[in-house]
Amino acid sequence: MEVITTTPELAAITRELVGNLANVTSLAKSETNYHQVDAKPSDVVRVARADVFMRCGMDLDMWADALLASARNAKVQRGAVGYVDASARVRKLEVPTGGINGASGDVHSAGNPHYWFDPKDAVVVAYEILLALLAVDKAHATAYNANYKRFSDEISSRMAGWERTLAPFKGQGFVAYHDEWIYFATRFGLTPFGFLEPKPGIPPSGGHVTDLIQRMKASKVRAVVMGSIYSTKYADLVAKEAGGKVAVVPYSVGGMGTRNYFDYINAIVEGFAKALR
Amino acid sequence: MKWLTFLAVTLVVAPAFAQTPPPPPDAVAAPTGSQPASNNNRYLLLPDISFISDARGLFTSDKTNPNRNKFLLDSGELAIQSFVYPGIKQDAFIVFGNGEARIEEGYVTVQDLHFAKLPLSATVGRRKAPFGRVNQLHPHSWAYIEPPTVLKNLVAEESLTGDGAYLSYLFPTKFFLQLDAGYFGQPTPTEDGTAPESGAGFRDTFSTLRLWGSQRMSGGDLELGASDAQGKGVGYGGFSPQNTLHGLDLTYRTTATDSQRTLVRSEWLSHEQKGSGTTRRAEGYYVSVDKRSGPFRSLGVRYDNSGSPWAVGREKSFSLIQTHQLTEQTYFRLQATHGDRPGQKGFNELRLQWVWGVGPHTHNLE
Repeated sequence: MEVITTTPELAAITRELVGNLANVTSLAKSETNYHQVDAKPSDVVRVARADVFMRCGMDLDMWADALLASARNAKVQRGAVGYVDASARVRKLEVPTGGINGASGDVHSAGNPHYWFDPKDAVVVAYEILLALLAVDKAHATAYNANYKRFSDEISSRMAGWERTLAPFKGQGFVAYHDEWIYFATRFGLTPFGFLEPKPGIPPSGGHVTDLIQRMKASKVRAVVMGSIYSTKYADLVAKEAGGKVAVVPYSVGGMGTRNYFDYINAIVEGFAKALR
Repeated sequence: MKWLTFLAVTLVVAPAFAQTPPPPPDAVAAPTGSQPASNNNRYLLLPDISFISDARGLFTSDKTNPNRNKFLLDSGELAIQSFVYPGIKQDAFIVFGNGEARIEEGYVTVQDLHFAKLPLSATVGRRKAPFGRVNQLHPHSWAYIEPPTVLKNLVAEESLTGDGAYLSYLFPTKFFLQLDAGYFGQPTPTEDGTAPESGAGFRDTFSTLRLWGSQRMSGGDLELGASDAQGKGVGYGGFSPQNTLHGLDLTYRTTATDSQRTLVRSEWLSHEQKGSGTTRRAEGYYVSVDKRSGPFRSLGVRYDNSGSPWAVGREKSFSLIQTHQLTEQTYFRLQATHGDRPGQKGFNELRLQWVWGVGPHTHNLE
């Protein structure tokens, strides 16, 4: 069985469920900005052969629509059992209530799409994947159910450790490059204080960064957390001026030596703890 | 007997039980797609509507160019896109420019024809023809402001477009291989005796054929394509020549990491006009390299070398192209060109472009 996902995180969670029963490939490479993926003809072939196609949804991977259209694979078109929107059952955060326009920056109408940073949401995603696997490949239902349970149990058991690591920093503020930590912060009781981007997707400006430094000093916020794909030019400056530290955490599963979803969350939790300490 | 009953239960019930999904996890929310339709969310029925504006400026040493030293709103593109039926999508692009509105493209795509289990799709309506690598791209998707000279001279000022249909067949190969075959007519056939100044010069109907493939390699993707277009040309004295276009294209795109990628592209084209015992040929090519150094900036260079079926001499030029992306649909671009063209040795041009857009807007695979 061939499973195609749009991002490495979805691929990593899927691998936990399928084990050796399917080939799982992510279209976006690790450490690539998922908002800016080139959908290429060679990707069409992969989607054309897929039994299951899994996407992040929430307008993050709209580039996948062109691939689905070109692939002409009825098994994975919208509405087919092999088409999975991993966000379908996720509780959405930062869903805009007013209008969105160019002045809002790159705001997604369905809410903030970076839900995979919350390990509990990873279980929700795994459940969505499980339903698709049970529908597409009934013969291995026992294995999929068992793998899902094992993944869910492992998240539960590791959750206690992650919570213990971040417990001393509950309520503490941090600065990030892009507004992508709301699910993670909500889960672990942290407070996103500000972002180097003045609006989502808009590059940092001198005036905004200066203002951010002043606000950080006034509120005694010192932690700066950066996804590994972003330049640390402004982050280093902000941390230096605010008297804090920059922690670079993997943007993708596969980044900074991480091999699976658990490694990935481990590295992120440790990065946050380092910046907040 | 008890053990037999136990075995039967284990064999019959257990597998059925294993196929049942477990209860959803704690954090689960209602599936997004299950919202009931009501008067309050009738907006869900709306198609994707978007508008993209394209303003351009030109500073040139060519004193005969009417757009010299002007900054003009070149065009505005209103797009209305939606599925009309499962697997059937309609796209309409209405372009406003030069004081008029026209349907640039309006077509329906049947994504899977379900014909003999072949991966075959069909497009019917007014459409930029599947010829060459970039003919189907809209100007706001180009990597340049001014199209390559060979495309303007041999194919069309902007794109070879017609009313008709084409079929796309995706070969069941390990690498991407697709064949597009189309037949188009022009809404207003060119009157005989009207000599074109540029482009393919088809009088009315024309057919196209394109075979293109792509192979993933270590470090990037290599794409190769071959195209053909044929049709009757504009006639003189009751005789219409046969116009034929051939094209070869090559693209190499490095695998993107951290928003960076390099795109190398080249197209070679030839135009042949056969009629009343004479044959006229013209050919040309371009080579371009575009380097995206981050999410917001790219720098490109292009070399153009082309003849024209409608004029004597060749145009050779070198362009430097810089793009600053504000958002996915909004960017500034600068194109500086230096070259020689018939009657203008050592011409210089500086073009500026500002493209901005609102609303969800999608095109076929770039």
